[in-house]
Amino acid sequence: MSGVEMKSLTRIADGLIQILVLIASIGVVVMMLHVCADIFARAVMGRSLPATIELVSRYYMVIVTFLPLAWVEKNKGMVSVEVFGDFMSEPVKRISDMFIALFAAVIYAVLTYTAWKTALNNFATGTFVVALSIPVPVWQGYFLPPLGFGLACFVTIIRFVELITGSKHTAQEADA
Amino acid sequence: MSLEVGFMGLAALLFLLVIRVPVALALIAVSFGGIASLVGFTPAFGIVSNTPYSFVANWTMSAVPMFLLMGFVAFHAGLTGGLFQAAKAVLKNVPGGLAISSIFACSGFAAVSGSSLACAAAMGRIAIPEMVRAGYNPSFACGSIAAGGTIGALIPPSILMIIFGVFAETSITQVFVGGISIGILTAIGYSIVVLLTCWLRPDIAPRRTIVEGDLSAMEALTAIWPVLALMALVFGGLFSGVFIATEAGAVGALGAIVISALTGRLNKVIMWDSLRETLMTTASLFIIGIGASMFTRFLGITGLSSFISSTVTGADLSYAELMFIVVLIYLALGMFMEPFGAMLVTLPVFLPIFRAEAISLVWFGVLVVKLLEIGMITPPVGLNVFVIRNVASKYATVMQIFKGVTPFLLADLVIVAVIITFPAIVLFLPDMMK
Repeated sequence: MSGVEMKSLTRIADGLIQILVLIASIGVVVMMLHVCADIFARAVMGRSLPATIELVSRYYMVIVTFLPLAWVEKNKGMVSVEVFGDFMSEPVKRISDMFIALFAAVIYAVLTYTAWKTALNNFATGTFVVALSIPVPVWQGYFLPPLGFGLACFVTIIRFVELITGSKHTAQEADA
Repeated sequence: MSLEVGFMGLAALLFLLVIRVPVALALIAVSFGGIASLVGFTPAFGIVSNTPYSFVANWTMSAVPMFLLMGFVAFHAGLTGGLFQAAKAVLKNVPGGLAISSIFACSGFAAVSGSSLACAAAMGRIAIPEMVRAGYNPSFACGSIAAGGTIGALIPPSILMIIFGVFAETSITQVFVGGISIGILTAIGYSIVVLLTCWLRPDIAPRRTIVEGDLSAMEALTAIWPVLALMALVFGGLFSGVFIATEAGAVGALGAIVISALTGRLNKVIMWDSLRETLMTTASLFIIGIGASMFTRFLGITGLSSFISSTVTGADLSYAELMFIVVLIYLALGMFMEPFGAMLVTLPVFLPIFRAEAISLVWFGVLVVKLLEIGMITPPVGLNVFVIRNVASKYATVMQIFKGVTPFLLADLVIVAVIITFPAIVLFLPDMMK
């Protein structure tokens, strides 16, 4: 893949990542409003909104966790034990950074693959849950983990390539 | 054979953490590799494919992003700004009043925020410049607030306690309530440290009382009404049974947003920052949770968790010996790891032991949170110290802040000894609720 192709691919991924963060932000707000509305309905009208627990756990929670995953990975938001990095010389640190990026890419790839298979299975069976005798389809949510893991995998592959070639695409620093 | 794989897994995990592989990925990789080598690839793929969704699609866990949002909004919108002023008004005649005020302001902030970092950052920004102006040694001033921040995770709401409750399958409300007395005890312990320092080393902490910025009692109340209203909303609703702990976060977040908007403190930037920080923390936390949940399965399959718990039970360790080991392990981990990683890596091993020994998990949860919070202020990795360094960089270096924290660490060790010796000090409030 040429440098130009990689750059435009990265730009598309960056755009997608930003959109997903926006959707996840909306997800947080809607989750908050939905839970509050349910409490209100229970306290005032004496009955819960249908399927609140199912929607919160199987939609909002999945959106809020998996959609921002690549964005978190890109901004180095993943928690690691950094203290030993101080004892590494620059070249050792660079090699260890490369290893970590590659290692992360492999793990994300495995997670993407398995989560994708799970999603297809749930799609095929049309998984739903029953809330107060109303069937609520939930198979859609299963597609979010592979999306999040897949994009995170892409981000770590790009990081690996950049570390190998010593190049850095400009958008990485600009985005906070 | 399986036990060997279990121990190798623990060693591999340690190795991956030391070379700086993210905690979540290290946990997932070791669990996957370990399970695959023990029972084959198909079951390993099965566990890896099911856990991410099933861990996250959890109603109880939804309290985490909600309480995070509440805390971030309260922090960014400056809802808690009046706490320090109000505490000063009350404590103006007490020696070391400024330092003690900041510690109690941290405790107040803790009631609307679930993490100690936000607590330390918020108070550090307001209180440190004022303390230094009043003649406090900067190292001591910074140290007192780095330590005071740890109260943030002890007084409910507390993100650490929610995650503990989910993993330990114990009542989150009870762990919350158990944390109240230890949070208050910590604030009192730290205040005693300040008083002793004033008495022994007036050059570090001046005895003179507060002169500037006197507020009347009425003004103090006006300054803190947003926090009081938020606390009344969340805890009032929780304890009167209008909603449960899982839902309290959503009410608190909406409450924080509404109160900020009503008092003209909310704008687009604040809302956006709060949402992004909520997402960042939630996603990075839950992926560690996914890894820890796989790791629990792995240790279960190897039989290592039952081996360790039966060894501990069989070794006839006295309560004191067992606790000594637990404290030592958490203090050591806390030196290098941030609290969520340290807790989630250790719970799969410790929970079976405590279940076997029939020790209250509510009590254990509070103890673990207290120990992990000590890790926030111990070198070399003390996140609260780093945060204080960021907000008060012109006053002290990291080394000086660690030095300033030392007397408060001594108080912490006394408090840990008290928790272990008198479990009732944690449990009397949760027991009253039953």
